[in-house]
Amino acid sequence: MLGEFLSNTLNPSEYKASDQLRSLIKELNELGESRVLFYPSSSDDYSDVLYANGRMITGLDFEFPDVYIHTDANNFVNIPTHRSLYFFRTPSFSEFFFLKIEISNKKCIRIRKFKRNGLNSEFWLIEFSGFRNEDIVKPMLSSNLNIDLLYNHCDGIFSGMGDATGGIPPLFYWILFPELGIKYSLSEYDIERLKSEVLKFQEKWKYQIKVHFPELNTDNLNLDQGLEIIDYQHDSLVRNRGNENLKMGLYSY
Amino acid sequence: MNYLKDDFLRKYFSINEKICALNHSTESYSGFFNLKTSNVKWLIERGEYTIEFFIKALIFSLIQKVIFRFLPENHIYLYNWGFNSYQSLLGPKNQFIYRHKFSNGSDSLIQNLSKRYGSKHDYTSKIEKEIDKYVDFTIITLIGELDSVCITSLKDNFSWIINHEEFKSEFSEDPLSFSNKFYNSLKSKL
Repeated sequence: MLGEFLSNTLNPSEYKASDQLRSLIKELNELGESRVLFYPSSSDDYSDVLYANGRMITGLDFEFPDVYIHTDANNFVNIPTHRSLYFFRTPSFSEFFFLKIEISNKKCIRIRKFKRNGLNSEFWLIEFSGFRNEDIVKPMLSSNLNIDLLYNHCDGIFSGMGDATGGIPPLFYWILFPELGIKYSLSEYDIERLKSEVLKFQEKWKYQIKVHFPELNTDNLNLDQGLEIIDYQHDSLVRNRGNENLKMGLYSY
Repeated sequence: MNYLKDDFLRKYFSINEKICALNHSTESYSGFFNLKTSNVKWLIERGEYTIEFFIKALIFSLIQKVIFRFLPENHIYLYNWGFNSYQSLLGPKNQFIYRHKFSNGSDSLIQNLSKRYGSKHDYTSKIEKEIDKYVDFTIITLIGELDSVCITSLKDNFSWIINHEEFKSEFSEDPLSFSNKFYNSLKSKL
């Protein structure tokens, strides 16, 4: 499914798959059951790679995600101060796969595989730079990809600090797209904030959702029921700079 | 945290403000690896700090750097009774300890202290006689104290870390230097 998701993000008429990409898609499809973390509007932050795991956060039913999917509307990759230039160049990580797919001068996909040397474990990092979050949610839905953990640190859409306007707050994903099977969410916003945004749904968010997902029937959404099945635990225990306020939500389908 | 005494942690976390005040500076101080000999001497003479504290603080900074560079998924908070709050071991000093080497701090400090003030105290021989004590401090801090609050075992990983080129580069190649002797002693005991 992961390989299918990747191929669904590439427009076949615009991109000709290389042998390396074909073999990668095959390898990703053969991954089998894997834990997927999705970090929408990730900017060049990689705190999820260090702290969003079951060893640090009590309550998650897995240790480390196998796959991290990052998206951001800005393409930071070619910026000399990009955090990944030094973040992954420590003895703690070994990179042993790298593929960069240039979509245009503003968009690219980077796929990397790392080993965590201290933990003797591996993970994939797939970064969509220059992509809106919604552009990635669509192929996730069409390829039946399940998201175990939505890492929603500093939600640019809720807080209004994002560069891209007109997006859908990622906290709405688990109400709008149950097909994604999102199990956990880490966000600085709690259930009360989500409820207050739901109250503004008709006038504030409904139109934007329609723009991105016209086929979604927002008239029949049972938002109250969606909120009822979210259990918010108020201390995620992710104690790193800037993440002290993250709260964990658990969605029971 | 029995071995890392509250008093040590309080002094360790608060030294930054002390040094900034001494230097009439409001800029963040660049950690223990870049201490001014005159500041250290002044603080020792006032009786607030000992040379033993400074050597242990340099070692503790080295441990901080090891975690930051080699096992960064460990985010350690230690209780600082002086401030009555938890303080991050991987706090804002990250960027500073990244730049400087352990040998810069320890060897230069010991040499300069002995050179300038050696008539009263022979710091070099005093510290070198006690290398075993500092090695024990390192091992107990790493394995006995911090390992239990780490999500990646420091104990299990130290064998590859100690042989890693980046870690080795923290120490001088001069066999007569403190940092070189410290490294060899640490390696033999682990």
